[in-house]
Amino acid sequence: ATLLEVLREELDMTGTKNACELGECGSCTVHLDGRARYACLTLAVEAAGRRITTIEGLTLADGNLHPLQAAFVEHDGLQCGFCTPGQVMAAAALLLDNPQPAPEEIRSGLAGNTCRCGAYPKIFEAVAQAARRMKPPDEDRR
Amino acid sequence: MTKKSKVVLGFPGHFKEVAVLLPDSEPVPWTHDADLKIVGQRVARVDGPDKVSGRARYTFDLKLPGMLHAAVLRSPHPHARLKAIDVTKAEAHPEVRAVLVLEEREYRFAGAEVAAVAATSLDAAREALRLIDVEYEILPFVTDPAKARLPGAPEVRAEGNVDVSVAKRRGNPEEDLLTSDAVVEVVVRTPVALHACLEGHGSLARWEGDRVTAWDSTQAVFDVRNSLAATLKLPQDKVRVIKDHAGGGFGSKLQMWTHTPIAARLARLAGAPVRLLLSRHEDFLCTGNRHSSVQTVKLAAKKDGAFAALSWETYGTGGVEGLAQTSGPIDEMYRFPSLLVHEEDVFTHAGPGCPMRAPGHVQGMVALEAAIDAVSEALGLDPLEVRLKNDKSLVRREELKLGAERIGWHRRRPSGSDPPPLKRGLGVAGTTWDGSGLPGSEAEVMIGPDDKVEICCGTQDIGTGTRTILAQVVAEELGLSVPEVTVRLGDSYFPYSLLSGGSITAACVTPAARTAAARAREELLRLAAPKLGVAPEELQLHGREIAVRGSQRRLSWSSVLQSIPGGSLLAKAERQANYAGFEPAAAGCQFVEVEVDTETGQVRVVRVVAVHDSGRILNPLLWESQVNGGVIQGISFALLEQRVIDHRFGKVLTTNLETYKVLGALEVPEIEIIPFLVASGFNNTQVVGIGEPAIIPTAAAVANAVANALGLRIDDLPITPDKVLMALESRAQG
Repeated sequence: ATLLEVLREELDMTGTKNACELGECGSCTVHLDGRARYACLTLAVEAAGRRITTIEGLTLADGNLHPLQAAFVEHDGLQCGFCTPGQVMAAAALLLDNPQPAPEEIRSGLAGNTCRCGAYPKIFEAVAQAARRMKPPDEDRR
Repeated sequence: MTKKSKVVLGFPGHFKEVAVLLPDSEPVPWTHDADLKIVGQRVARVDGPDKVSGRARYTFDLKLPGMLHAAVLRSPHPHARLKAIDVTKAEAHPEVRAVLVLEEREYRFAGAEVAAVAATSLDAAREALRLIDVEYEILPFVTDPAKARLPGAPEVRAEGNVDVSVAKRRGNPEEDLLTSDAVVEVVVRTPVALHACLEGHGSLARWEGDRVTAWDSTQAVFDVRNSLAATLKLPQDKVRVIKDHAGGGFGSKLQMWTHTPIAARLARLAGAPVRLLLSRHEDFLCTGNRHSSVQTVKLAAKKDGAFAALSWETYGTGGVEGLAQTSGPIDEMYRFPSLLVHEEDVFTHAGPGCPMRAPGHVQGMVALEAAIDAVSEALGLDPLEVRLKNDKSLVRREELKLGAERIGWHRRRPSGSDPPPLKRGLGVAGTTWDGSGLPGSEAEVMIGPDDKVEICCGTQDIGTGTRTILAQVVAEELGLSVPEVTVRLGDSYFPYSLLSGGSITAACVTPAARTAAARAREELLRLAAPKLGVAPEELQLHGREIAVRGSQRRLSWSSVLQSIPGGSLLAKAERQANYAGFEPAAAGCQFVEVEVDTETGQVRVVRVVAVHDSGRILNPLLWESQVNGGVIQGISFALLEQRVIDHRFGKVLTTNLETYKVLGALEVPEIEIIPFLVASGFNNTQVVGIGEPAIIPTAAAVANAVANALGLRIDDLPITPDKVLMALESRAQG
């Protein structure tokens, strides 16, 4: 089974979405040891013993939104919202790697995530805003 | 009942007072200068926190105890008849709980449903499909619309493969096309496009006795309810359709598709809930598409740029469905003294077409605006000036001037004059769409115990922000803040609402919500009046209190509500018919700057200026998102998207998001959005939809910008690098 199937069907963690099944859209983006991965292209056994973070885990322990999530809401970096967990996870991985990305780096960091509604301009704004707010970069909380 | 009233319509510099008949049971329309506190503000999406945290549950995320998984056997042939089917081996599979053979025995496209299985796991259901033995009688097919039109082509429908959908004439087009100062002909081709919603199509069905509930990823819970009831031969009140969140629709979820009754019928057979979620491959075969077009357009104009005549001959295909006309925008936008329109629907053995964001208008605008640029070029006139001369809409003429200034239209150079390899070009196109709404949608406002305020309406939020604008309108009317209002929608057990498509939703549901909220307020004041010893007219809301005007005497809402049975009050309203509007449709225009690389053939959209009006903008933040989405989908259609069928085999080749490419983060241009405020009339919130207007002009403006850059037209969409290079090559060879 893929990591996506295990997350969604066995653990009922449905924040990670399944949209293309083939590693083309990024809706299933999760972190494996802090790096963005498509859960649909990751075998569950590959993830054994490794640290997996999903959108559910990005939300703070007190239920508050992570600064990236808050910025997506504030800037309306979403429409239907189906790709949003994947976009947020891709952006979170980008900021772990590069806490102050330039606009072009934000675009390339999100190049693996499709938004059919076309929310991109506000997604870019949201990520830039979150990066500013998270400075100095958040300690990895997981 | 109606009352005569005066409303101010128009825009600054062009306001006029118009006498209209208003429904007397409604609050008077908010004027353009009304002092509103919440409506018109950049309120963040109320379901945003659920969506960004993964808590929002879409149809694809739902599970029920004991739920079975379904899979569908589909015809591999573009045209076939069922000779024999044997499901006994599938039925004997230990995990299979139900097998259904569909009644339809002739399959008219590759992907049509033949049979379905419900099993305890999806793997088992798919395995069981392979155990079904089917013998097909393979029949002749045609998937290429150019061939389907020819005499002797394989028959798609008994009525013939061609339907004349529009035939219209005015004036003397034949003569005017010969005698005008300039006549041009453009042939514009647009491909079949796919909606490609990231959440595909799916249903989860559960029976309780003789009642069925379907959780369906839909834009239309009531339409799906009606169709499902009809299919299952049930009264409508035995069928409930629920859609909480939907991952996109764009027109592909306006109707019930076959998977919904399949899930319901399997659930009835199996005596357990059944979930049927289509794969991306299935979704691309059989749940709708934007019809193709081949549009031959001749435009004649006088020396001064005034249009004399237009001839519009088109055909297009939506596979086994019709509706391929593109001429909608013509008369809405420009004056053509002489006109000839002949449009044909061509039926082919391919998956069904259905509405897709501004159906026909997107395709038609590419042809219309291409012809206008071509005739301007032929006359040596500025294409912007030619539009300003012929455009019927006062609003759009102002918008064109504004947009031209913002994009720097004065920089536009004669077509093809930039040196290679990077050639820049500017293009413009207009938009028109009537999103002023329809009567019929209902809303109910409840003020209940603990001061809970709730708006309930069976409408859908497909990502446009319906939840948020409903909360804003009710909060505004009752003097509350947005978080104090709970919105419930997406359920056919709620008050009736029309489908969410055609940019009508905001204009359908917000006037009903506002009226319901106003009635709830009146009821609250009426209940408080005897307690305060004054007439209701002397009372007003003040936060969660009812206050006597000009006095300190107040009562809390809860003390008033405690005195009535149940402790809550309900007020319902129905959307009334439109009253007069300033202009019949929303206008708007977009200006596009492109850069074409003549060595690689790559077209890059650099910048877009989008000027749009849509009556009152209830929430600029969400409104801008709609415009961004329209522009981005429009560029995607212009440059990338096409469903490809191998006509030798009648099979779709683009069955995933790798081969069906949509615009991504790296290709998004800078988009400048300019709202153009119009007191539009029509309804009591004076809102007009923006979903469709925002996509209509984009591809047309991109194609015109490419023509300006290269000095030659590429009117075969999508404008891919191979077409650019071939066009340059064939020009080089003379």
